[in-house]
Amino acid sequence: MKGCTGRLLRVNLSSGAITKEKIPDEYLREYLGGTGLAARYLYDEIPVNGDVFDENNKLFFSVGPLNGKQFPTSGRCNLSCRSPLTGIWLDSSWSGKFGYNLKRAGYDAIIIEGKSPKPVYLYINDEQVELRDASFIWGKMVSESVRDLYEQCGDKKASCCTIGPAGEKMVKTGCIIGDTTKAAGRGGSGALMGSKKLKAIYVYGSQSVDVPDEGVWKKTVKEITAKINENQTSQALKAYGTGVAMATAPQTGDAPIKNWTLGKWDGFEKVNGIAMAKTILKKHSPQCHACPIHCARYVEIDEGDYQMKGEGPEYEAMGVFGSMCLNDNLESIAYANFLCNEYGMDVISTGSSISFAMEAFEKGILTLQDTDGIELAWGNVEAILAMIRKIGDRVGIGELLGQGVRKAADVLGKGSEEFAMHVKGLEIPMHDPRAFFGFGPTYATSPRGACHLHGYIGGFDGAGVMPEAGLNEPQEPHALKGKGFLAKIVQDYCSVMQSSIICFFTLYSVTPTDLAKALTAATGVSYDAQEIFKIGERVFNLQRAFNNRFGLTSADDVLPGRILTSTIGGPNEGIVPNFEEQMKEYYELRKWEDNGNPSKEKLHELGLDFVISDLYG
Amino acid sequence: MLLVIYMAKIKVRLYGLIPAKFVVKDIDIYKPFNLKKLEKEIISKYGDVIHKDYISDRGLLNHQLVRIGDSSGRRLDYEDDISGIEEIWFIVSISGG
Repeated sequence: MKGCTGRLLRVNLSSGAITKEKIPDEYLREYLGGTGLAARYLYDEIPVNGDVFDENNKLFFSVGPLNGKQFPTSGRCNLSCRSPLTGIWLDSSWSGKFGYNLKRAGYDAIIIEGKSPKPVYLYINDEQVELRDASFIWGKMVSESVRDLYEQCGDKKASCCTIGPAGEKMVKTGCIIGDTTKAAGRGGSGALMGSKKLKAIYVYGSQSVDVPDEGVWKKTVKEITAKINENQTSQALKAYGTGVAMATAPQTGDAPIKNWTLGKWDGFEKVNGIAMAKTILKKHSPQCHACPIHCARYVEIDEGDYQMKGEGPEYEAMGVFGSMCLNDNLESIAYANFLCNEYGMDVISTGSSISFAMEAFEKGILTLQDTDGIELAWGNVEAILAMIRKIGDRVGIGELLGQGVRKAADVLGKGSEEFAMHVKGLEIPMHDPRAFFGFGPTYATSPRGACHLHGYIGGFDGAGVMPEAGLNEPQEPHALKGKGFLAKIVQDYCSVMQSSIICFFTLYSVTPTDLAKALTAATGVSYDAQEIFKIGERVFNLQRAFNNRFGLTSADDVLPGRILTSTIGGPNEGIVPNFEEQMKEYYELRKWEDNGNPSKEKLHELGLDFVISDLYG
Repeated sequence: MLLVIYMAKIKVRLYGLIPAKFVVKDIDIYKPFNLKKLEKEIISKYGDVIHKDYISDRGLLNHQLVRIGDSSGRRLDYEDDISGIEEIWFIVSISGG
């Protein structure tokens, strides 16, 4: 299929063997790439039994048909594995230029298997592929590792992804960082990479990617880039970054406060993208490959306790280290974000664990003895930073908090499970289902646990339409009907986006019809909107089946009880989602059985017959 | 005869209605006023820069996409009495990362 290289790089760290394999053409047509291709391979290749750190858990890095050229926001790369944090499906993608380079090196995917006996990094320069000694960067923070890696490998046009000390120490919220700041944050992929002693992947690609008709392709790229540029949300993100949404949080109630209890917090006035632009912002960060949105921020703090230079906090960091911990010191939030990037840790899970620990401390479940004398009081900036270091170094209470709130509550007990805010073991992103009801079924059913990206509801709930899927009018955020439907269609569409693969911020402007047109121009296969929805549904259901095989059932499709009770004060006081009805609607539309398995009919309809015998015997 | 004109000053936050702008304005408006009158005043002043999606066919703000609330976050609509309110937010939904 045009637009793809049709090649997969298989790297066995145990034996050191590196092979180049052909990807079956039907896999590319039916799953595209990215998370879809990962699902197709890993469903077959990761055994159902065993620990997440067993050598037969694999890391799958993948791009899609839209990567490797100039399609807007196409610098992204997906990685998938069985999550060390949750034990179920994980995918996570990051921006920058890694995806661009990987594709131009001539590969749609890399599969990493086995375990290396010593620290190594994978060097890819087009056809030259080697495992190299990484002892010179093992133990170093991310930015130092990246600097030294480039110094050894040379080419500034290249890209890399690496783990920091957290991944090396197998902290379960450790993540993989693209270059120095672009995190594939969720689910602990960094811990898996660390368990394999794979410190980094360096990639440089110089080959062009073929499309059927260069003229048609360029015209399509131009049209879609113009649409993204014209879009109001793109413009807001360009002006103030993702933190702009914190400015509207006092009205929407989207950002959780004090571990999801309060509905009102005066700190939003100081902690948002507009405030950042007036204080520590220096300029936009260097853009991700071919991105017209430029949401990233470059900040500098030259004086005081939180000196740093680099990428500033995103919306999620402002939430977890700001409103969730009642900390209105923006500089300290930037520094907390910086520390997470340096250790290579997921911001959402790390901040959520600290917020959880603050509540445990308030309730006397954690004491000064547990925290090495640190007063884990709400708003205590130094305590937040100390906890990040303890988690990253895996010492003291950090050993427990680095395993996520589910595990922490299991160990601490004493009612702490009531305020451990996660779904399927993944801490919840900074979007409240009491503000946008569509997040309810989205979080409950996302294949990786609580996830706002597998169904980027924020782009639609109360804001957008998708006529190709039957959403002709924006839904009222608190509507009692239609949220199961909304969750399904957005999840399916997001699955296609992450298989293509492009940034979710194009969701506001790139319609399913546009995406189908782009995929057709890239591949020469005639896609329309209905066909790409089917691909998305196929991918989503295959990931579901992956989880079903690991024992996941409908009983796991739940939200923490706290989210189904009212906030104290704020715009959504007294308002909670009608979750049971949402899920009923969702299950009916998905054609899932009461036990949570996709029905045989649905699996057959999607061409997933190979799954039926696994789920139904 | 003594003519008394009651003028109110109301702080208005227009967040995202003008593309890429998040502005706070003080608007003077004659009392008595309601939300409809305030919206007309806003559109008379800023209608040329507010994105067309956010203006309804009736020349008011499009409440399907524009959310309105007081400083506590309480949602407001045309039937609400806003005469005692000193600050009103008009926002469009933008989801962060």
